[in-house]
Amino acid sequence: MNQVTIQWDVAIALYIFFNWCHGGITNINCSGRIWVEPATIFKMGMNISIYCQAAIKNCQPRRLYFYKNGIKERFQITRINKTTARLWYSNFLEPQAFMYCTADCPEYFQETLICGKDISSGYPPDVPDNVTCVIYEYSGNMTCTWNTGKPTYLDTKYVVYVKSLETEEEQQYLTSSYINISTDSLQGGKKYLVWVQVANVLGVEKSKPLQIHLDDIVIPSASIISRAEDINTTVPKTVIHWNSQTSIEKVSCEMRYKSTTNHTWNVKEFDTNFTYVQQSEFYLQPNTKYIFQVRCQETGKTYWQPWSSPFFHKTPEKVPQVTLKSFQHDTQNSELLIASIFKGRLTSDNRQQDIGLLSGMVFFAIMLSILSLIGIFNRSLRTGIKRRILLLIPKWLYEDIPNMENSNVVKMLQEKSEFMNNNSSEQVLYVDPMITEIEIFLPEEKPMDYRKEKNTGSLETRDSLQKSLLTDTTVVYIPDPNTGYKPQISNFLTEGNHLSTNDETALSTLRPPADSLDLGRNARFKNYPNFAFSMSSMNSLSNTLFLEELSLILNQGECNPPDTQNSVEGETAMLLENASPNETIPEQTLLPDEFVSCLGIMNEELPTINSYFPQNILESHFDRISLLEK
Amino acid sequence: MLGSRAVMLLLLVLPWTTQGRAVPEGNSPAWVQGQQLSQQLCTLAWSAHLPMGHVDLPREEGEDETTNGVPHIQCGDGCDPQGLRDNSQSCLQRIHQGLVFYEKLLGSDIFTGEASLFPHGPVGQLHASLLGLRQLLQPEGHHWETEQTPSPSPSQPWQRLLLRLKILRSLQAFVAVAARVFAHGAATLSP
Repeated sequence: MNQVTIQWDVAIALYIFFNWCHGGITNINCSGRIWVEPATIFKMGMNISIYCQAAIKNCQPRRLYFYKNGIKERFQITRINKTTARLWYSNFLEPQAFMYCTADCPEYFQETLICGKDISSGYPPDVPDNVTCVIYEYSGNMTCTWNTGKPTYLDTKYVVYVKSLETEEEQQYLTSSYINISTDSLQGGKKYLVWVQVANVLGVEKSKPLQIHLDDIVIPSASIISRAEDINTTVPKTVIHWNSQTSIEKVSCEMRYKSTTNHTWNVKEFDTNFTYVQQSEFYLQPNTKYIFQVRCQETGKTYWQPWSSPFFHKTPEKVPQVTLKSFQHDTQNSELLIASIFKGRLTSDNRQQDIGLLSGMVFFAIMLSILSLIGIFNRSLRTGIKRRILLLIPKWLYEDIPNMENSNVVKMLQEKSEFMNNNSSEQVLYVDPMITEIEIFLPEEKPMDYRKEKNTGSLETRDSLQKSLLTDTTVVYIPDPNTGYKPQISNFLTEGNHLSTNDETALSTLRPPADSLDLGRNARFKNYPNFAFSMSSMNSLSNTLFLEELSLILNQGECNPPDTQNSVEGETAMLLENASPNETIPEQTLLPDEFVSCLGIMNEELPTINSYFPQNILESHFDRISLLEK
Repeated sequence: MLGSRAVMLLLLVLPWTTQGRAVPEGNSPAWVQGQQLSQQLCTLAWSAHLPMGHVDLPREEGEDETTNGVPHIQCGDGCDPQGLRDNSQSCLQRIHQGLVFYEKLLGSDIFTGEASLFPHGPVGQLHASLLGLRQLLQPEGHHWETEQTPSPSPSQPWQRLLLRLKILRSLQAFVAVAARVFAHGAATLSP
């Protein structure tokens, strides 16, 4: 008795200790009770009543309140007596609800908690049907599945019964959905009876028994499509390579395929032996994305593998083959057959198609040769054909000598000649151009040689001709040093410039044609001599323009007063008149030194590398400019 | 219950003076960072309470806040200005203890029972933020002496609804005081 008292005291002490440790913050104190009729778990759609009875010290509740999921209920509440109230629900459809009730005690501003309850509604389980048990090869398990029917919304458990037909031994397996039963545990022979019993709070059901033989329910190891190969023969074909690790000898397989834009599958069946990798040939539409899947079963058995994971393959674009066009068209049409099922080997189909094509071509050739022979040897037939053709075609087609007076072209030329004679002042327009001599340069010939030649008589002759034809413009023939041939490229320059810049013209011949755009004699280049841009790019012109803009921008700021700007413009105009690229203007800087130094870096690189452009320096200068303006 | 409220009010209303010397540098906590984290905790504790704002927490008979085992910051913890000047460690240890307590509750089935509250909901953020402040107070290699806080017993769904409210309300009061402590420390004791 003493021991019991001590134990009781210890228990109370522990409770107090843990209560202190946990704290009331993790516990709820009830002051009464709450219950549900007919039950806290009931069939969905039923009418239910929830009762709340307060047992609060020193409190006669003025009102009793019900809360569902934290929300106060305002209707269907009936006060039964001083301490008890009832909440009524009709057609309750919520799978779960959290209920609690409170009391309004006169002594307290807050409502006092009475207690709470979780309620659930759902359905009794349906009878499990379509019970299926299979053994996936190499898995070592028998997997049983079934249709569970509609959801119950309640905790529902399934018990799988496996009874040996040979030993009458019965085993039970508890699960919540499907079950994997080790084949090692099935020691009662090969034949079994399997059924499923399901139960939840609202009911119990049992499936029909399924009789199985362990050898009949094996599903071969998964088949996998490894790759696709496009073969460009007379008729392009696609070979699908697929395999399985199964050790079952007699296996039946199906391969289905369709274009990704299509909704219907084409299925091909095979009797397969997986000693080697399988190769299946398909004649598909070109430039189309296809999806392939394969599945197998042991020949003559019930259960199939699930379809393999989708394998996508896009066929190559069609190679134009005129002679086989109609044949290919027929092949394409055949692919559009909906869910057509072919039996047998694909290789035999292909051979038959080839034989048909060959025989057709031979027949066509023989017929053509026979007709030709008839035409050659039958003279009367040939004469008749010729007469008929002569009757049909126009007369001028078989005239030996055409009559010139009938020619429209001659008439037109005569009219034109008369018109030209009447306008003698315009004759100069129809003077044939002067034929200049063609000079041949050897590839190794240096440009200096050419310059020497230019300074001799040939240049003088050419100048005089150009003066007479083009007044104040000059045609310059620039030889291509690479080929030795002298193409006729015209540069229209002022005569003065041409004469004064003979050396530069010679120099320009050393440059590739693109360099002629860099305006080597352009005065603007002189305006920015210190920048020394690399002018080998087509961007040089745009850079020149950009720098001009830049110069203007900076001239407006602190760098150049207005008078300096004018002088620069004047200088630029002057330089345009008489320019020399070799001239430099020492100490002539329109930009601050740090900007110039940055551009010096650009000189080492191509001007197209814009990322090195000193934007920060520009920005700082703009800032300074704006500050000075203020 | 009234006593603890009075203590909390006293702490909140106390005009904290700013004179005094800082905590020795070797033990100096990151007051400014603690201030930011505690203020964030305050905000999150309120925003976590908002989704349940429609629920009125009823009183429970026999409930006494002084004996419910919840860590409270009290006068003896040295969280007043004088106590912080003299030795802030006891106050910070008390705050740390409270953070551990609430961290455990926020990770219990009371809050994890409803998937919608975690991990991206306001309670999830609150939990993460609380963990951050606790780690700030207890750097690696330094261990406070903390009371063993056993895990709460499994609760029924209807209880969880009310327990969440109780815990969040208690947490709001706790972090409000902690935020004031860190604000004072950041203003006066930060080196």
